[in-house]
Amino acid sequence: MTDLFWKGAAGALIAAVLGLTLAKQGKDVALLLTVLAGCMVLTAAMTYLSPVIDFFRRLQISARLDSGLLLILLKAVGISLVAQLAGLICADAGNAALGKALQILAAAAVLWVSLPLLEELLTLIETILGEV
Amino acid sequence: MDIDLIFKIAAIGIIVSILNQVLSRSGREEQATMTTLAGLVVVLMMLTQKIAELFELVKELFQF
Repeated sequence: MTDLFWKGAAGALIAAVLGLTLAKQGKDVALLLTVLAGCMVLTAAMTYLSPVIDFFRRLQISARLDSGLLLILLKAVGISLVAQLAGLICADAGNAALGKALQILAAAAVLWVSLPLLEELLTLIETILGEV
Repeated sequence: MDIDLIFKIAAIGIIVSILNQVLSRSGREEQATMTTLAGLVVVLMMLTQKIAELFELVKELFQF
């Protein structure tokens, strides 16, 4: 399992060096190489994250928390991870505006995903205020 | 983790750039452009599968 980390680090370094070589001739293939290496490293990271998420699920069951709460958190993390990678690749390609737009889209998506949580918070505040 | 794919794409990039240089120097600019475009499409097709795999994995892991 630790092997995957070393492979990922080596792959990223090799891709960076090869990307520099390719960038001299044409930036398009170098950018695609970066995208590929990014995808592969993120896929490796997902392999490590899978047992951690299972552990979170066990914690949630032990603490008898609502499963929806963890689901919202997980979705927010997933959206943020993908948007961060895609945004940075856009910025690397010299299209920082597109990267920023993607980050705004991710923020909007995270807000939308966490809307039930905010509604629950509002209900709780209303209940507390009603009791006072 | 398939590091071979990184080498494969780098090799395609190098071959395409060499072909591009050769064709440009021999005055076949259109063919050089078409070769570059073909290489780009081939790499994109390889990449699309990996991106789809990553997105599926993220969807599955974070329960979308």
